[in-house]
Amino acid sequence: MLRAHGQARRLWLIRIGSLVLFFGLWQLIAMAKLVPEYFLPAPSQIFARYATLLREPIYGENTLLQHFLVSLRRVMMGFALGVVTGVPLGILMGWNKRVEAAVDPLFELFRPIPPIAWIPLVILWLGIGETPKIFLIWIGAFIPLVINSYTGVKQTPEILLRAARTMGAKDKDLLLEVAIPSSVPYLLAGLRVALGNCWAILVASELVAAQSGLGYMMNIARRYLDTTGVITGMLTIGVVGWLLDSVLRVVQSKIPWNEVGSKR
Amino acid sequence: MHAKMVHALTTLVIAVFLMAIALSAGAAAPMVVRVGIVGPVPDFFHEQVATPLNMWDDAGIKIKYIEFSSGAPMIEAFAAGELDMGVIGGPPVVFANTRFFLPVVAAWDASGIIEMWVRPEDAQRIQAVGEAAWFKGKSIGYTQGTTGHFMLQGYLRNIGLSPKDVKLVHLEPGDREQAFLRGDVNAVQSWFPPNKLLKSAGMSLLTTGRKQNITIPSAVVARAAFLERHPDVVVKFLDVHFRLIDLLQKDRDRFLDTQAKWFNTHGIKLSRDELAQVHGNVVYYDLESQIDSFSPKSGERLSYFGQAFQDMAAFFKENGAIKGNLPDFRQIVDAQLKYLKMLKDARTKNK
Repeated sequence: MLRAHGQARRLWLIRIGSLVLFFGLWQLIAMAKLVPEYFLPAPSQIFARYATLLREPIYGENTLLQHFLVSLRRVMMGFALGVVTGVPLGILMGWNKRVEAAVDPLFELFRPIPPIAWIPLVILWLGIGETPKIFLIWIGAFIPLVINSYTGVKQTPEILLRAARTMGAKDKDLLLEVAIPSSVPYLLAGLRVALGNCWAILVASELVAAQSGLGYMMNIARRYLDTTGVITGMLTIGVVGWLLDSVLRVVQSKIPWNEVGSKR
Repeated sequence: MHAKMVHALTTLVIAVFLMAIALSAGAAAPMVVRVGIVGPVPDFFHEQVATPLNMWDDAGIKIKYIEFSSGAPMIEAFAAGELDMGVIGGPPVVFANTRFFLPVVAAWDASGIIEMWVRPEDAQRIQAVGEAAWFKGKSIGYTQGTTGHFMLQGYLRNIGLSPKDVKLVHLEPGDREQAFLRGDVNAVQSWFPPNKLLKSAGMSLLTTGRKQNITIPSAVVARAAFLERHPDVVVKFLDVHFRLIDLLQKDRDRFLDTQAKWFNTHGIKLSRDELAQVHGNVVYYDLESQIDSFSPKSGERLSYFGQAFQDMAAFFKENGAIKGNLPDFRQIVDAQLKYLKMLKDARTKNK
């Protein structure tokens, strides 16, 4: 127990050490003035900019925090819509062969189209409000969630289904009591991938007629050659994406039958 | 024995490699000037006209064009040292010079092709109630940090409104026009080529930067280190630039035919008349008038174009996009007069 505790501490120290090393090296390179400031500003300048941007507006009327909250809302809405639509569809496709036959060709047709390829159409179809941005983020969440929930249901161990049938379970019970619970580890993995995708697509989605948000802020900062502003946005997305993924990872580790899923 | 053979072979390979390097260095290929261009835009005509007419070959320089969709990535390429010269709108030149020195070696006034569009029925209402009354509270699509942004703010000032009196909606070029046609914004600031969409949909051109007396410079820029090392190449480039302007003024048909052909072979249907209309709205400068426009008049601190860039920078500072001191446009614009004079001297000598 003590040994395990010691190892965990060492791993944490390595994690923190790698971050300190990364930012330390970056700071040294910037301080050595090997490249101009607009090329690579020092982390100290980025952190100083954070302090300013939390108080003062940047490119419009919003502070960094307000841009962040707008982006977080978009990501969460796209992600939630992805869960509400993608998970049931994936489960249905995995459980019912007719649904699979009907949906699969369409899904396979649209699956390879990256969300940013929709950008030229979204204003035309959906206007300049929140809908086009959330639509793009939704696509990023929807695809992995369908795939993972479909795979999760398909991978339900036959022995569990047979055992349940022997005990008199009906089709509905098999789905609700056996297949769905057994697919939870796949589903959680899908949620993590989907959430990562949502943050990745956020910047592209906020190129579409956005007046606020981290992607908008980075886009305008780029226009003015404000590298510090761009990196501030990037780091914010990185940190928040990492924190949210960590929450999902903790949830994933609490699923008692997660090990069964991961062994398969 | 085996070791000796390996040793001999290794020596041979190294010798061949070194010889190859020496030979390739000796066969000095002609220098290629990497020219960034925002396009395709009719007043950035260097690739569209000079190349088909072999004007670069005649001048003795090789050009490699790198096309950009907007000014921002082109400035990044300049910052990375990946471009030697460029043809670009005014605002990116201003933003670049807040970070590094990017001299302007030629300029012209594109204000006549930076436009404001409304719906036909609104154009009538504007006539009835006046611009200020109609625009108050209306939404306007524009692209932040561009010539259009500069023109829009100048226009609002001219009609007695402030940006707070309207709703400014930042949209990328192309998206702006789509949003306007869908009815998501009441008016839109536009330029070529996305304004073709507005024309074909029967929308009304309300005004231009030129009609509003707002000078909106576009420019030929050169990387400072390149300019210092190869002033002769920059002068040759300028020679072609001014020959193109002479051609447009003196042999308009040849210029327009060549340019229309270029556009059409590049998938953009554009007639000679449309091109003529665009050029009619741009104020180009021949060498003599360019020298004049880069020379401060007595008692004035800056030249005409030095002042035009300075006004643009001052606007973006007021707007919050530029922090700190304004760039020194005496250095960026006026000091580059020497290259124009070098060209004039060279032309005089050749005569």
